[in-house]
Amino acid sequence: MIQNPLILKKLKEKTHGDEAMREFILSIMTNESNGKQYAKFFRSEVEKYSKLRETKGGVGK
Amino acid sequence: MRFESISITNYRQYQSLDVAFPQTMETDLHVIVASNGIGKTNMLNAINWCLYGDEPHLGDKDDSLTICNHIALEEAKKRGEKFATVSVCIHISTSSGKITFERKVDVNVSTRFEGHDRFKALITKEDGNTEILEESAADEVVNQYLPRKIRQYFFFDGEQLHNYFGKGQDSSHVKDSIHEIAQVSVVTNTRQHLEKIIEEYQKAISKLNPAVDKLSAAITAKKADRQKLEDEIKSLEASIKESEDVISTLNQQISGTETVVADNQRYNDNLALISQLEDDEKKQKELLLALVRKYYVLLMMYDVNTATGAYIREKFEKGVLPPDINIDLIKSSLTHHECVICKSSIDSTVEAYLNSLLEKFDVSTTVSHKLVEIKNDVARAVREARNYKKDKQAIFDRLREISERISALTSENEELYKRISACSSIESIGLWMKQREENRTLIRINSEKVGVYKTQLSTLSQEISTLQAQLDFAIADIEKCEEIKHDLNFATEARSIIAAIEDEIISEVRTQMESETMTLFDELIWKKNTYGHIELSENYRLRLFHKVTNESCLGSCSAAERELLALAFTIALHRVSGHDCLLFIDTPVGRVSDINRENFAKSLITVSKKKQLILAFTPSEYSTEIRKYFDASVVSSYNKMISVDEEITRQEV
Repeated sequence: MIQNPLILKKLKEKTHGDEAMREFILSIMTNESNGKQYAKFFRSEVEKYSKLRETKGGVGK
Repeated sequence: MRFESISITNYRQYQSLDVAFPQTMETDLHVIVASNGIGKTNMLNAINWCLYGDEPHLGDKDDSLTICNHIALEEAKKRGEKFATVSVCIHISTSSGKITFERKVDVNVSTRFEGHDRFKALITKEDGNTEILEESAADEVVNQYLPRKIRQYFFFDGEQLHNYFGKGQDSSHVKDSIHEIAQVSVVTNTRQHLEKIIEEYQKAISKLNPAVDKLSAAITAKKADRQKLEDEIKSLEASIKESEDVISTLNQQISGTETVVADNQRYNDNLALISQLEDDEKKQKELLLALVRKYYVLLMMYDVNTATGAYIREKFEKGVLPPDINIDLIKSSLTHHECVICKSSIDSTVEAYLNSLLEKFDVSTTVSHKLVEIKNDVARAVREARNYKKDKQAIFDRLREISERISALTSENEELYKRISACSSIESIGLWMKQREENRTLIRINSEKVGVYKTQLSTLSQEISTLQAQLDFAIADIEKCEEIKHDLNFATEARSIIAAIEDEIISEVRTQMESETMTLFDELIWKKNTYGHIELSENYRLRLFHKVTNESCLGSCSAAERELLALAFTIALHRVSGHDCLLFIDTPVGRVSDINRENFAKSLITVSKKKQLILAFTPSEYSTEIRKYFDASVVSSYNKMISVDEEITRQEV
């Protein structure tokens, strides 16, 4: 889990309200912080959130 | 994350100890007070052993007592048990539930050898579901909450704090640890792993894209080749058809006239042959003329030569020829006036006689010599003259043969001419037959070509079919490629964001650490006008600057100040990183005294409002300066730890 508030703050700033992107990055970072295998998880998350963002309307939505 | 309790059984001086750290107040401050040797540091070791399987605060592991409590071993032996079991359980609570970590090891009561330890994590989630993970899976759970790499920032020995920033300390280790605890390394690893995924996407796309272009181009080229072949085959087949039509027409025209052409050919061949024979006849006649010329003289001289030859043979047979008088000898005797044989002188009578002999034999000797000379020529002329008949007959035979052959051929040609002259257009028939043969040849050549082209066409069609199948797959891949591109763009965008976060976090964590450490250090020390600011290099080498002179002055700090600086740094790290875990400090203010201790107490109370603090003091360390602040804030205090027979530490009830 991401505990450093600075990271969370920066993430919010950098994604400019792109929720899908923010959730994606948070998800893969959380997976990383838990020391889990990344490859399969990252790929499935990319697929999931890129589609989700498309559905939600993309950057800044 | 916080410790709820620790249960220790048979671990070193702890035969049976349960320590609970309840959270019932605004602060989460817990104190353990025990004299030296009672086991404060071993409690730190017990925590480390339970979570990580080692005892980093043990003086010398190879030269230490067995991990199992000595009395426990003796008691187990008395009970006839083969092993005594050591176990340490740590119960923690997290935002998602509770976890109990338990490590056990059996120690042989006779040999005191330790068996393999067993480690497990019992996870109880908020919904009440439980899960037991063992060994490496349990290690992963520990690393999730209390990463082994940075454990020195959760569980540390205060007596070592002053060495934190000493000379020769590897600051890169500090940097790595800070990046770990502040989760910069999580951001970095995420970025690096995402880059690997991006590379995979890029590779996948580069594998998929060129295939379509290449396959399309190959198919187009093959199709063009196929069209060319098909056109060629069509053209050849048309040509074959045309030739067949021509042959058919010619066949109709030639029908019934095939022999005329052959007759005509025979007629012409015969004419050529007659011409050759006539030439030969002419030649033979010339030979005959030459023969006559050659034998004319021989035949005219034949009788004379025969007689002369007989005469010469007769003279030879009689011994007259060749002549035996030596005229030269007579002449020499006359010249020297003496006989050249007997050397007697020659008188006039003898001389006259010798002269008469000379006169007599001079002519006959010449004739005899001539006869001898012509003997062979005469014999040869007679022999040659006798060949005349034979040679003449040979020429006449050849002339007769030629004449007969010419006569036969002329007769045949007369017959042939009769047949040929009956047909009106012999030249046309020959032409038609020639045309028919040419067309047959053309059909054969063109048919062979069609066969070759059709084989090529079949191969080409197969190749096109294979390529088309590959193209279909590639086109399907392209659709997939578009999906990958979409994912790649998303991942690339995420990577850029993460990289930007990483850059800013690295810089800001350092800046915040500088400022937070200085603030805390300022709170902890009594000197308020000595130290101005702290700087951390990129590698986290800490430099403390004098407030007035702005000189670097870490080396001038006392051991107590360095200890407080290390404590400030550690607490700052917890604050900046937001790392949700406890702080366990053994002997936190051993070198600190008086007003600094009061400052320490005040600061730690503030810290304990946001973080669980477990502090293990010696009784003298837990002085009135600290107690006057702590008494109101400490949630649990274990201050009656006693040693029984120097072997067992117990909590006095």
